[in-house]
Amino acid sequence: MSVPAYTPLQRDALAELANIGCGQACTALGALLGRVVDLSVPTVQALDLADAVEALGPAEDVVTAVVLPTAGDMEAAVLLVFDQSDVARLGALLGVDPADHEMAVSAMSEIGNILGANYLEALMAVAGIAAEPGPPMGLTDMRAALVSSALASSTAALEAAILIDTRLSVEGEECSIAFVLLAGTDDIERLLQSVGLGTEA
Amino acid sequence: MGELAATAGGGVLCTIGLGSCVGVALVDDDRGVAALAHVVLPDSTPHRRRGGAVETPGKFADTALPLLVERAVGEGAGRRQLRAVLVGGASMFALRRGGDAQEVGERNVSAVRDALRRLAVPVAAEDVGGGSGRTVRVQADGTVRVKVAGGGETVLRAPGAGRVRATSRPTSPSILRSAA
Repeated sequence: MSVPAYTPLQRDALAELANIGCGQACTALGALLGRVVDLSVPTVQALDLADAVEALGPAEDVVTAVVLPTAGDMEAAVLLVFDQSDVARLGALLGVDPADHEMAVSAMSEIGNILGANYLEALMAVAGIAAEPGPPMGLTDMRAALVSSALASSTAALEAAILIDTRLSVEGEECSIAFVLLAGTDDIERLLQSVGLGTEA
Repeated sequence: MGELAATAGGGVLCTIGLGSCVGVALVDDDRGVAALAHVVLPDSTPHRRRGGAVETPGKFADTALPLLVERAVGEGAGRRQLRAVLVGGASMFALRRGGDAQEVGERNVSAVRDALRRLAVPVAAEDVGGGSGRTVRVQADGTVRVKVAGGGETVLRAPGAGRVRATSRPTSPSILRSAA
């Protein structure tokens, strides 16, 4: 189930789609927090799942991940991965006591929901696909356990991922969040087709 | 993910961060052979390409287990001396909608058990289910260690029958069972 080798142009298009999605996500987060949120998208990669798990960072590190499945025309999911230091930082912005782990995960689910839902909505609107984000689920565990389970649990047992590394800055507070669009290669093909860069004729 | 490996002699096989996936270790203590597979999904049938080929046999319980036995025997293990140790199959995210009540972790565990039964390989110990990720380390002498997120490492199985020293972890609600 290897991911097709995308051309540089296709990769740029995926990066641009990701940028649009992340832009909208970050505007929405800014509105929630009442602060200026800046977001940059330094890298976008389309990977197969095993490579995506590896690319996300040390497998055994404890992180918090939030997953939003899509409902509708596209069986995909968005996965957001927060390091524990970012959980503390972002939680503090929402007034969460860092010692209260349950509240912190709940706050991350809310932040993940806002970021993920807006990201998906923007992406689906650009691509003209009728799909909506479902309810978020947040968990704290080993990175590889969370990422691999999100992949294996999704409806289509998705085989490809678009990995977007983002730097989020909330009024000077720097966070690094990994956005992962979990999708089948067919769905990535649909995204590319929607911008006129499909592989198949 | 979806990989499998075998070792004879001093090697250690390791799978880091098993969630709903199941790490299946096959050990032959006497010959000092161990093999480990990282099963992601229970059934290869929906994932077969045209012509029925499976691109990644190590990923599915039904295709990984026969291959794992073959690899262990290839490293010198006795076919009838093989014992299995199962780790993982936790319930993490429940993303499937609709009637599919059983979670992927649970289905992985039962598919692995079925495959082992068909291959007549007894299960010596297991640490499955629950809601936490696990890392498994398998030594060629048959020692199997398990670690949960933020926790220490425990010995799930020591080499040799009847010398299982599984200790339960208070933080993990998983089922810990040994049958030696």
